[in-house]
Amino acid sequence: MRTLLAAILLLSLPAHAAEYAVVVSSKSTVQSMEIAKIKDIFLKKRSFEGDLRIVPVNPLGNDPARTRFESQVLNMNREEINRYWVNNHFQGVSPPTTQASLQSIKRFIETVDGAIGYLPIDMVDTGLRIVHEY
Amino acid sequence: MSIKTKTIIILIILSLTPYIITMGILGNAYRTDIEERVRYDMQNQLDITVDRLDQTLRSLDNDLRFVSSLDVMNDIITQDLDQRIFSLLLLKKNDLNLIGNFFVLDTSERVVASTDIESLGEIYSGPRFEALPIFSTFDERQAGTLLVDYSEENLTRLFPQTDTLRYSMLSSQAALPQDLQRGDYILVERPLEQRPEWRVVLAQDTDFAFSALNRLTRVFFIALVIGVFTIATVAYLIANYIVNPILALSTTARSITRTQDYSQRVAVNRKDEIGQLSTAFNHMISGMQEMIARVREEGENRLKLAQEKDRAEMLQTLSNKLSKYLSPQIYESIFSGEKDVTLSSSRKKLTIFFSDIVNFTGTTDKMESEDLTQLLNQYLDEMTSIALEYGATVDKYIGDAIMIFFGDPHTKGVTEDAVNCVRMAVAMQKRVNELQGEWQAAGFTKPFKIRIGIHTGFCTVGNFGTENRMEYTIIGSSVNLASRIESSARPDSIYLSEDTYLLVKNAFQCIPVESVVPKGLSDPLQLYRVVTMLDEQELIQLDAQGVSLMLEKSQISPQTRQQLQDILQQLDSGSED
Repeated sequence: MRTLLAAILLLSLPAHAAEYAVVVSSKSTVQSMEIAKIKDIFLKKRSFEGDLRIVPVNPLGNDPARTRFESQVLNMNREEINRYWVNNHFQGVSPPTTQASLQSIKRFIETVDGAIGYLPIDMVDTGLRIVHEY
Repeated sequence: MSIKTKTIIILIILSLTPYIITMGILGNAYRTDIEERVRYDMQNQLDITVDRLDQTLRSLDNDLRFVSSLDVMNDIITQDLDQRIFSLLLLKKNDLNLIGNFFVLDTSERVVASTDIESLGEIYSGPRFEALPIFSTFDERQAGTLLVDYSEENLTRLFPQTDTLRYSMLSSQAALPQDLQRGDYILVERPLEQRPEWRVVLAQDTDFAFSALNRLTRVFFIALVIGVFTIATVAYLIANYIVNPILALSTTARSITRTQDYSQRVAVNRKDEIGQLSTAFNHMISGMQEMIARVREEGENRLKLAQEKDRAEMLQTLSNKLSKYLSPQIYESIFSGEKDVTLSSSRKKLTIFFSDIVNFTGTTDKMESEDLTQLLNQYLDEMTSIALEYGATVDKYIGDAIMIFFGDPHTKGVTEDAVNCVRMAVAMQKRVNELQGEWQAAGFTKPFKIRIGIHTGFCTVGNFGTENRMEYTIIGSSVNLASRIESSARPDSIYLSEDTYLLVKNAFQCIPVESVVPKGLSDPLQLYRVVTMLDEQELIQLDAQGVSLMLEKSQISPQTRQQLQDILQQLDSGSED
């Protein structure tokens, strides 16, 4: 029953496009961002935007926002992602910082200069700026 | 201090000194050794404990560093909205069983997360046992501070729980607690390596540390007390053993000095040097006693001697006077003690001599009394000298008569006494004839002639008379007979009784003379006359075969002469026939 319900939900997702948005602080100078850049930022291939240090932040664990982000933005499943970070760990590169809740992600982005994260669109308010939707 | 006390003290000191020295050395060395060992053990235990504390602190530090480096600390930025830091701190607090609290402060020192919930949102102003900066993992900027309010109790609870060891955690500057300063503890201490400002002091009560030694000391002390008592008792007995004989000596010596009783002696019941001393003392006292007795006796003797000398001198004087009245033999016998001056007598065979001057009264009646006395004294003196020369006893003088006897108090035998008596009589006759010339030269024209009678017979000799007036003399019929013989004798002759003659006939030539009948006797008595040198001139003797002739010319009467001539004529005619 549950499996069926999940399948229905998955099938229903394309019908609700752009539920999540990649956001930065509204005080940031960044207005929009390409998906490739976003991917480089979250895979720590790119750390600066101009002079600004970019600080990516992930929700913890299997949050739906993160799952969706990984599949649609990073275009990688969790196994690929884990393998990626294991490889990079030995080169001194760590995964992005995490926050346990979407609320704390929102506060983190609002507080930390250069912070970038992703949230459901309905959580985005004036303190944030959407640079990408998915 | 008496020798006894000294001996006791010396013996106690001598006996106890090695014991005390040994006890002192052993006790001190043992105590030092024990203290070193205890201190060593305590130091080891303290090292273990302090290492454990240091380890705990190191572990705490590591935990804090680890926690502060965790990614979750980035939640400081979100004010620990998800309480992930709180969960972590709580987990760690429980894990460490921490007494105290962890605090995570943001850069404005406000408490973001803490195990002390009440402090959340407050500016932290509490103690900071350890504070570590927290850096964000994304830009390495300090996001806040992790600190811990760490109670000492977290460490002190790790101290081993023992009854005998006392651990204390003190700051390096703090003084020891008062009770530990009293000195009744052995102390070791060591600072924490992780926290040099803290030190751990380990104390052990000396009573406990030295309990074994103290027990041993108590045993030793009891042994010492018993030892002192025993040694004192033994010392007392030994001192008594040594000193008592000396005291006895001293007491006896004092007693002797006080009482002058030298018969006292010290009891000797041992053979050692003291016994020898006692024996020597007794010998010395014996010697002194003897000497004193001797001196006393000598003194008494000297006194007696002096008295006796005086008495003797007096007696000598007296006896000299008396001797004039006594025969020297009698005198000597009496004064030499041979004869007691008591009324006693004995019967002896004596030779008795009587002499007197023929017709003394007629011869001397014309003489002056002074001349007579002188003449008589000279005569008696001369006769007495001769008598004494021959060992006679002069009995008495009766006027001009002399009574002498031989055989008492000294005797040479009856025969010898008789011979001596006759020799004396002959000597007297001879001396009287010599004196005749002297007297005639002195003017005494009428010559003295003496006659002598001698008899030998039994007499009673001794002291006669009363206790107050005694006379040493002889009595008996023989005395009377001797007197009668003397009366019968012719002048210048010596008459002997037959008894005397028989005794002296081998020594003297005698001729029988007329027989006499003494008064009181009925039978006539044959008398003999001693032929003296004077007689020999007138004596004609012829002893040949058929003839035994003795003629005394002066005694021959004309009738006898005629008879002799007739006999000769008959002999001549007879031979012619």
